Amino acid sequence: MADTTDLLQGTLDLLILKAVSLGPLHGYGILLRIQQMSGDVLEVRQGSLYPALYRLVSGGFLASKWGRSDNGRRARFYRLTPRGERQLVSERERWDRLAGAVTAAIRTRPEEV
Amino acid sequence: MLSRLTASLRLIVDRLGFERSLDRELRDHLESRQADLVAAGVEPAEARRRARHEFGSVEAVKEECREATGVAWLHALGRDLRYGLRQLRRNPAFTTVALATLALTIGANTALYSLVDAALFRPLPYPEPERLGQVVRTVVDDGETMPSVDGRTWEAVRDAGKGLQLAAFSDWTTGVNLVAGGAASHVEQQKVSAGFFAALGAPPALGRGFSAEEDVPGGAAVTVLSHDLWQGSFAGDPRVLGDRVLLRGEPYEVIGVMPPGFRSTSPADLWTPLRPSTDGEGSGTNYAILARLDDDTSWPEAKSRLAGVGRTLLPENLDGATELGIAPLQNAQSQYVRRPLLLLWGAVIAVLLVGCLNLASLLLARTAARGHEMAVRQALGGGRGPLLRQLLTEGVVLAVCGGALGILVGSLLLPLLLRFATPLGYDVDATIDLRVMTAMGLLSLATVLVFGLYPAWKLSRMSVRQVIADSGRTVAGGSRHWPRRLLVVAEVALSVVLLVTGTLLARSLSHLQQVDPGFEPAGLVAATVSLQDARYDTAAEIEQLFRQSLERIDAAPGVEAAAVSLSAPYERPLNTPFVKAGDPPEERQLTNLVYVAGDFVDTLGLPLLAGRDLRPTDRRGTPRVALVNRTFGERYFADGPVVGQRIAAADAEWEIVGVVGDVVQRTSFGDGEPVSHPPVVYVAAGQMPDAYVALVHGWFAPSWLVRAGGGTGIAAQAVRDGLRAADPTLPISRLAEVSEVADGSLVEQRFQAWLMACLALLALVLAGVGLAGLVASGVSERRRELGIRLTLGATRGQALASAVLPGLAVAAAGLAAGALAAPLAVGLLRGLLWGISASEPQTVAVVALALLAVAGTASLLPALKIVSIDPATTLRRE
Repeated sequence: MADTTDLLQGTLDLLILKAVSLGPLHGYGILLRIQQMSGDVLEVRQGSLYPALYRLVSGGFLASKWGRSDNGRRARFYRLTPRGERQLVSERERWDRLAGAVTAAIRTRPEEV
Repeated sequence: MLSRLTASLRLIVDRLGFERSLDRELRDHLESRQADLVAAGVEPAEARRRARHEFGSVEAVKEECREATGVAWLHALGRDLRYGLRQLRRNPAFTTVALATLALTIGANTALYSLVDAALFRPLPYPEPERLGQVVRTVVDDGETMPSVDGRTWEAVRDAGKGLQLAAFSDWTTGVNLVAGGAASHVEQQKVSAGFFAALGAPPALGRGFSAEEDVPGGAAVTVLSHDLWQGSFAGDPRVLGDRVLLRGEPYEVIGVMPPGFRSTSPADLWTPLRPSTDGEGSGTNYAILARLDDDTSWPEAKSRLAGVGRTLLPENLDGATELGIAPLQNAQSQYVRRPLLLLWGAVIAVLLVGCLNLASLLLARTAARGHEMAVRQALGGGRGPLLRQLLTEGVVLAVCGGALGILVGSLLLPLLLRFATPLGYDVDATIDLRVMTAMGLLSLATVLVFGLYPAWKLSRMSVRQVIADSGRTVAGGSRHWPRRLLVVAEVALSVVLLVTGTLLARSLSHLQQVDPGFEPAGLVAATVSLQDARYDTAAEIEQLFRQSLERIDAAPGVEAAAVSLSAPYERPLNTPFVKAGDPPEERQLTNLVYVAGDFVDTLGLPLLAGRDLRPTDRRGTPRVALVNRTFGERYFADGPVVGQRIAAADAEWEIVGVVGDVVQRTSFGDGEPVSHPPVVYVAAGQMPDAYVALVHGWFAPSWLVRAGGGTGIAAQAVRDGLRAADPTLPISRLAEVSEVADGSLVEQRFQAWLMACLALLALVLAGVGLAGLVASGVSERRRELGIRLTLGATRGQALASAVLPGLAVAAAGLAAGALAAPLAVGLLRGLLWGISASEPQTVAVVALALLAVAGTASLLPALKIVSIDPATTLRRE
């Protein structure tokens, strides 16, 4: 069983945007893909997924449409909008900055302070 | 941004669809997860359970999704609305009283505001109405304005008024006889100068207006018809232009038809050229001047230009201490009705205020009663925000329902109001249109929100602990009551003010109605006929008409006496200057002049106080004689005999041969009461100078007065037959019993008195309800205390007194406050009260009595509940 890590809301948005950028998906599929992308390390808490999706749609980053999934059922598919693409880029940069800063901070040796 | 907005809008509209797809999506997710688990080898039932467990609360997720989409507030609103409606249903007493209060007060406001708006505020139905004005004369000392000018003023303004589009008109209409297409009817005619329609911005729909050549004395006889007249008399035939009609017996050519819905400054059926001049009617202030400001003229510029023109005029035209100016057309036209209407509207607003105070008091009481519930909600984590939103929603529901009911009530009241108001000349197109409804809707909302917000605000400041601790055990008194008490005191004070005004107006009306008629009105009929006709503009012609018709009428069975008089009783007579023979012209004074024919003194039953009556031998060609009434004799010949004196009036000399008693007439000059006994000079119709006959018939229509022993039906038939025999082409413009004319002369006073009385009654009822509510909630709050007192030996009477007295105290305070405020209101009534003084003991007595009765009942009825308090049960309930 993979570790479930508590994710900040901003990070969840980033993961969702990235997942959808690889191709339109329905909600459950996004869940699976994030798990897959992270090499089974990250498991999104299911209750947080849909509010995040709706928020992203409301913000204009994702667009949704009802379609048919691969097992023939009707499902709502989400895809990235141009605005979402731009948001994905900027969120990535932010994460890189943040991650780099945290990494540098925890590697500080006593004599560098 | 826009797409987000439309998305939200779509969501709001398709709420159901949104909910359905959200539900579907989440369910699909769960089923997919379940399927995956089953595929991984889990039992289906276990898989279901685990899938649900992993997901968490579906409702919570749904709520978060709704919030994320911005739809959550809609759900909350729906919940609040449903809860609010349930609350209202569960408290029928409160709901009924609140809705009834709103419905009545907003209804009254709607009706009166429609009238006020149409008469005073609604823009005139012409293009660019804000550039329309009327030339006025302003008295320099007190700023009073008079909208009428004379012929010389018109000419001066017309010649020198730059930057203004000018036209003269007659500010009233006269009833004239029209023969069109073979049918005779009586219509209203207005005289306007060339350029009138153009200045208003309302050109005729067919044909044209008057040209300058037609608008001079002796010009062509042309007329413009109104749309309704054209439809009625010509069946809307478009070939009407060029047709001839007979106006006052003279032929006129139709040159234009106005569009449907056109309203002139006065309600008219047709228009003829004014032909302004500086003599005849132009020698008096009988014209009005319409002025439309050019695009590059401002109001101050126009004012100063006209003031300059005014200075060039002779004092006799401009009456010394006045200057010429300009006022917006709407103001000038509504000048005389403005003050009474605004006064009445102020009264209606006062009643609304009383209603609002009632509502506030009710809401306060209800909030206190619900304090417990609110506190529990807050303790359970409700938070102040949702609580306030809940209260606000309830307030809005109340406001919307109450407002809608109010508009309904108003639409029922408006026709009633108009039926009283139209005879006054409030001839306006008053409807409950969008303007009115918006205004009233806002009023209703403001009322409930302002008066409902206060309790809500108070509530949010109470601490939870305090409320829960308090609500079980209330003991008497407490500063919590003072806001409500003050509200009721204010209500009572307002009712007192309205009562005082209503009583004063009613007493004034009663005083006017009791003015001695001076004659016997019962059984007397008056038939008014317009003689503005080319065939009746000499004394000889009218003498013959009167003689022929009166012969016929006298001969009819049942007729006791008949006569003709230029002015019937209760009508406004002609006033004219006169001098005593031998006095210089500067000594001239005003008197009323009435020509008569037939047995005038006998028909009316006037007492002959001195000298002799007019005889049939006093006719055209014989020495001119006159009768005067008692007031005339006392005013102008106080010392010495009246009979035998000579006076000069209407371009002739007359010898006074008799004095008769006074007859009540509408006052035509001076500052007297609306109806009174003015000085009158009676002369034989045949002895009138010819020039005056024609002039007078332009403004006044004589009445045939007939008294029959068998009743007014016989008299009416007799006069119809008699007139038809003498001249079948003369239509009777009004046939009425003289008592009806009497009623008509006081219609304005009656309208004011009735309206004010109704409003006072409404306010009193509302104040009574407020008082009752106060006492009732006092009693129910103090149940426990009263129960204890009764147990400890107090009698029911004492308990009753302790509950009733606070109510009476509040009423007394209100009476005092109202008594202080009343003189202010009475000051506003200046000019509307006759024959009484404001501080009469009768008025005070009536008001105090009414208030005591209401206050007593209002305090006693709810307190009677005390009688049914069983102390044992009350205490056991603790």
